[in-house]
Amino acid sequence: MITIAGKKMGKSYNNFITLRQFFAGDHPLLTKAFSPMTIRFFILMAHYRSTVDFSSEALEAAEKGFQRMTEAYARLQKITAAATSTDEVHSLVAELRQHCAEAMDDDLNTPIVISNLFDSTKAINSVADGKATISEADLKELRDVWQLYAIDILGLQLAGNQQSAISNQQSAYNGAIDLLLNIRLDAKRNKDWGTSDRIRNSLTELGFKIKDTKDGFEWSL
Amino acid sequence: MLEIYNSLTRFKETFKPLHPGHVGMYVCGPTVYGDAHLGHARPAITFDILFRYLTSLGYKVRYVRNITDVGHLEHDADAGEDKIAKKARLEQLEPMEVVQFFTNRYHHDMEALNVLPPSIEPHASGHIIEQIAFVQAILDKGYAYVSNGSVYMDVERYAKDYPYGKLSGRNLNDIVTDTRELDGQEEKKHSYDFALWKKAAGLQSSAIRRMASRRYLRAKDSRAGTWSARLWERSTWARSLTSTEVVWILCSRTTRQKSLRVAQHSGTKPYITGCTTT
Repeated sequence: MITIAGKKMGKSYNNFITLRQFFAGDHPLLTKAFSPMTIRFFILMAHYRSTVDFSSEALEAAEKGFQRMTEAYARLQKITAAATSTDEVHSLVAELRQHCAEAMDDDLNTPIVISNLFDSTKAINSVADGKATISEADLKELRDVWQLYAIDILGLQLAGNQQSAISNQQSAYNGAIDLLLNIRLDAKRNKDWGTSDRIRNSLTELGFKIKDTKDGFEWSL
Repeated sequence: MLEIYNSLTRFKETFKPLHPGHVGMYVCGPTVYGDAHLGHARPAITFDILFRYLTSLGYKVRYVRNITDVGHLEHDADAGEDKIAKKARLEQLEPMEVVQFFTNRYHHDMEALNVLPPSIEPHASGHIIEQIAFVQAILDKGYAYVSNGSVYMDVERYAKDYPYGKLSGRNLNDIVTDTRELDGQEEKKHSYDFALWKKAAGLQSSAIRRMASRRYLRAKDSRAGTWSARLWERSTWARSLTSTEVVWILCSRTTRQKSLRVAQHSGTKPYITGCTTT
């Protein structure tokens, strides 16, 4: 059951918000538009037999959580394998599949599956930041578990398969920023610090967050 | 091993399919007279997770989710207008236009939520013949009665033979105190009786009166089939609706329990059922 201000949401109570209103942000109770995947993630963050109280704030929290998932998934696709795994990384990867399976077997406990996947983002981030390493076998296992539980079972459309939903304008924009940052990488390699700093500082001024990584860069707005 | 909550026993139990390797899932779909809201998204996503998980475990899953395109009356059940007919009247559309419009939008919304389509998507209007036979079977067993041309479930009679209220955990006394006063109550023996087949408002023709009568319902399946088929051929959905208002899939919690009890009684056993609540 979903409640809104403590009351069941339903047609007969005339207190419902349609999915289309969520997707367009077109309702007085909504602070903004929420994507279908945010709605899906919001619902999966609670066990199916529990009552969920809807609020715009709760949806915003779900949106941030989903954003973290997509970022972690994107990093997982980018990171590269090393000869061996750091101990913490290896023990996490070794248990992840089992933990996710146990949660699903326990009356479809999706919030626990999500929290297990979140735990694994720490390992993904340390590898991405060069603070830990992951072996080829562990990297394959980690990617397989994310594919099975996040994408196939929870049905979350993370990054890659969400591309089609992004408008042409958005992808052109992303491409332009990537281009600028690649020019900056080249400038750095050529020790052209003037150009490199100019790009970095200007983008930062415009509100971009730029992060240098072992394999290149990441940015967000 | 998958453990899943059983509403009947109120315990988590190890999931064991009746036929090894196969699972049948029946999920109550939308009544297509308006856009899906958050309350519809939740059961749709929950059963999508179940479908996806069972599939990933290697089961062959037959997933049936219906479209209720006829027979969902205003005010739960017994009085009032068919919801789709009412919407059509207000929008000056054919009921079938309302049905198609909101079915398309429902599919689109479900796709956006990445809810996989079911294996079979039956329409209530496509199973009128089976529904007539079903109501007839209940009448023949003595668990229903005809009043003023409509057929009602005789809940008290049924409760003598079967544990009515076992799924919802409510006994008849609880149900009595909870039942709202609605128009048309005077036709029923008890307020907790519910309509199985409703006489349409403004019925005129003797043929249609006969249709709603017990005598008609006792007719052989073949005759019922002929009658329905004729209705479909000669008239629009709207006209056939006013003569065959069908009440069988009502997605309130109490009705879910009712329909499940009836289904068990009649020998078809859905072992996973879901319902969207409206």
